[in-house]
Amino acid sequence: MPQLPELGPSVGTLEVSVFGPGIGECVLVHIGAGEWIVVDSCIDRRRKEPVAISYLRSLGVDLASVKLIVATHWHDDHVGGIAAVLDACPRATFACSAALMTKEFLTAVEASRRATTESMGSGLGELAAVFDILSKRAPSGSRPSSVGPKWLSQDVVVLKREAQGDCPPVAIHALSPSAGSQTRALMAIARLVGPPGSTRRVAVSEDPNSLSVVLLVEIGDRLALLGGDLEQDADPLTGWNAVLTSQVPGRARLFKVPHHGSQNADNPQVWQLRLTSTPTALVTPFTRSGLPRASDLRRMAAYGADVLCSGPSQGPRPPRRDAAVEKTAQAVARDRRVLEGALGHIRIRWDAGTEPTVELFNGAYRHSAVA
Amino acid sequence: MATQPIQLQDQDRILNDEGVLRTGADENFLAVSRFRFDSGVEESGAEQIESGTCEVRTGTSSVLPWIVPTTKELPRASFQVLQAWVGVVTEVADAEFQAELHDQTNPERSREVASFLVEEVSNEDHELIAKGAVFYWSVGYRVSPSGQKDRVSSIRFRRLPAWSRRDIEQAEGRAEEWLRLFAPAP
Repeated sequence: MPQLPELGPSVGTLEVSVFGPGIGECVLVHIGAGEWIVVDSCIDRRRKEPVAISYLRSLGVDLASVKLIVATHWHDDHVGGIAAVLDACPRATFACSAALMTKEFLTAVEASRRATTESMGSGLGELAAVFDILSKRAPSGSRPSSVGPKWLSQDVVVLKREAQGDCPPVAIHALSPSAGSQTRALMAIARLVGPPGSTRRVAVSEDPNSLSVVLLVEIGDRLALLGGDLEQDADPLTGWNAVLTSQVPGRARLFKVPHHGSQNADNPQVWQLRLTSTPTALVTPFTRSGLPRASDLRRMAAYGADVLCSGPSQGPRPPRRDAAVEKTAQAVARDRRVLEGALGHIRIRWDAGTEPTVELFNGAYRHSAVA
Repeated sequence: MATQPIQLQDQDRILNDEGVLRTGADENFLAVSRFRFDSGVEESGAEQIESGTCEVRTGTSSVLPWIVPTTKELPRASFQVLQAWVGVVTEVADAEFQAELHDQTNPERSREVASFLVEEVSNEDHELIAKGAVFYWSVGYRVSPSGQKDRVSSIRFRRLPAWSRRDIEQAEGRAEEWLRLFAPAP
């Protein structure tokens, strides 16, 4: 198994590191000058901690240099361990979708603490821990703006930094959620906690991804579009259709593909209007649903993209247990799969005036190499 | 041995300090296992069920007018769990559902996902199958009082308490605190 790299990026290098599936994904971005942002989180089971922490520590990065932690949405495959990341990064601003800033959603977050007696998360429990940390960082009930949460919606400036020495200026904008997406998400959020008398369950969203944050990261003329889990539908006011109405200009070379490459997150106009002609597509698997499918990878390649995937779409077969257990389990449960495979890693390092350099670790692969 | 006899008076349901005795529509008996029936009929057809009760399928109540509480252990069925999971339903289709499984026998193991036919679930639990519902799945051996050994799978859905108005009001109160604290700066 390849060891994690030990050398950090140079001062002016844009690095985009994509990890998955640790039941989900995590994206780390070096924005130059030794500063990092973390977008979503998943657990490195080998080290029993969030991969953001284990990777940055392997590079010798002081976690105080993490400037921003973004939860694109609340699903457990995107927020696993994000409270621990926030706790370990004392100077990071926490940011999340403005669609979550409602009494209904925060009620669901608090209610998740008592939804079941099992220690199985829906993602809401992780956000409850995040909000607890933020509450403690707000002295005497007043909240410094640097703490967060910073509520993100379309065209909001998330972070800006002037040029510093060899580092060009940095701008990070949110391109989603749009007002329409937030309205749609509200309806689903309202159903997370039932009325009095209804049965307690682990919260599972019925309208998963209309509230997802999408980020455009610019370091000088190098751009990366981080698509979160935003999906596509026919409504011009929601999803990727709404992203196309953003007033923030720029075409990205690097594209963290939304929703694990699924067809229902694909908008051809995004490839035409928001990406360069030869983009690099970074895909993380979602083993619960077997994403991305082979047809998804072919579709992205057909757009002219260099398609990189951080791991296989299906988890491995479960470990063999006692023969009597296996015989009965196979008769009762179909298609048993392990959710977490090896945590793959795609790393792009891109210096000004050069082509991006691709490195693939721990099972990550290039689509064209296996097609 | 305690010898205080309890006379069977109500053919539908008798409650007493010792346990529960109930007759069914066909006048067969269900009794908790610490009872035994006078005349030793309990040995024939007695079957232990999960909750620790003892189902006795014998003749009509008129054959068994007396019940004697006893501390003597009756032959018990046992269930030897080989493997247990806790599941959370993630998708429901017409005749099947998908669930995420957490290994309770070896919690260090990774989560798994699997599909189940609804017919694998007891009829009385069908109404509980919904996204987010929690269930126990056990695989093991059931050994009858006579020593017969069967390998079985058991899926039982949890009947979690309903949300109370107080639960929701408390959560709403905390949500309002967070809204005040986390509101965007003017």
